[in-house]
Amino acid sequence: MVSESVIVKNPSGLHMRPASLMTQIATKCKSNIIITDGQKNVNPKSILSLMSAGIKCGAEVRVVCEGEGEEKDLRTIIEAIESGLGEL
Amino acid sequence: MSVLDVLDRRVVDLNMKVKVKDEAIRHLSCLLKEAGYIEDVEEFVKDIYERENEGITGIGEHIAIPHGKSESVRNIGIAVGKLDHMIEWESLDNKPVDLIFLFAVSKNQYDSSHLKLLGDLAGRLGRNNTIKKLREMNDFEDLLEAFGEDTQSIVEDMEILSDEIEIRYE
Repeated sequence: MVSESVIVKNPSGLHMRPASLMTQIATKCKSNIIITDGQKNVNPKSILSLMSAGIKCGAEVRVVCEGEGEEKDLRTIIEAIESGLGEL
Repeated sequence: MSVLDVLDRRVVDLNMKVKVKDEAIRHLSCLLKEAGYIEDVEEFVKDIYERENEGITGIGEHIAIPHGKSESVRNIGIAVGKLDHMIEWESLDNKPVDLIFLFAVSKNQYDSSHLKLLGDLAGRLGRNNTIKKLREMNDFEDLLEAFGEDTQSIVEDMEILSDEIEIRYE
């Protein structure tokens, strides 16, 4: 299991547009992934889970990956969030 | 503001007879115009397509959530359309769509109430049985019932969504 923190930069947080990009990226990852803001756990492979979590701009989230390819998946997800998920 | 506060029987058609995505969008937009949510159908439809170009609105499970953020919108609204057959729609799971929630949102950039509403809809859709109930609904009351229940159960079901994965971290 590996994890790393990252700050969400999207001006409107992880709303539908960046969330659907996140889901498309995460579903290609083999490992199990959880994104947590300390209060709630979100499954980024589920767009509904992402959208209903309402993660805001500036929120620090921890990405946790477990399983086959976990290190590569962690990098992929962290970089995607850091680069703004298509919005920046 | 929750989905239950916004749903309006005047803009719900559970028997939509359209053949393609464009017809569905226009049909629901006309309902929104007739009920006073938007001023101009053409302008609103143009704004819907602008958003369509930015990214996929088919979220999977044969459901689409297109939205029009538009100067033409007077009040925030959600038009609901259900078809008895599937139509092509760009989706995250590449499946076609038979249930559409079309959001009408004002262009005020400081108004993020539609994001909360989308989040609320997503949370309710993610609950056990909601999608099943939506598939089986016959009238507006069934629609309300499918989305009903208090928010505490939404929070609990959020935990269930992540429970599939047993990860404990320090």
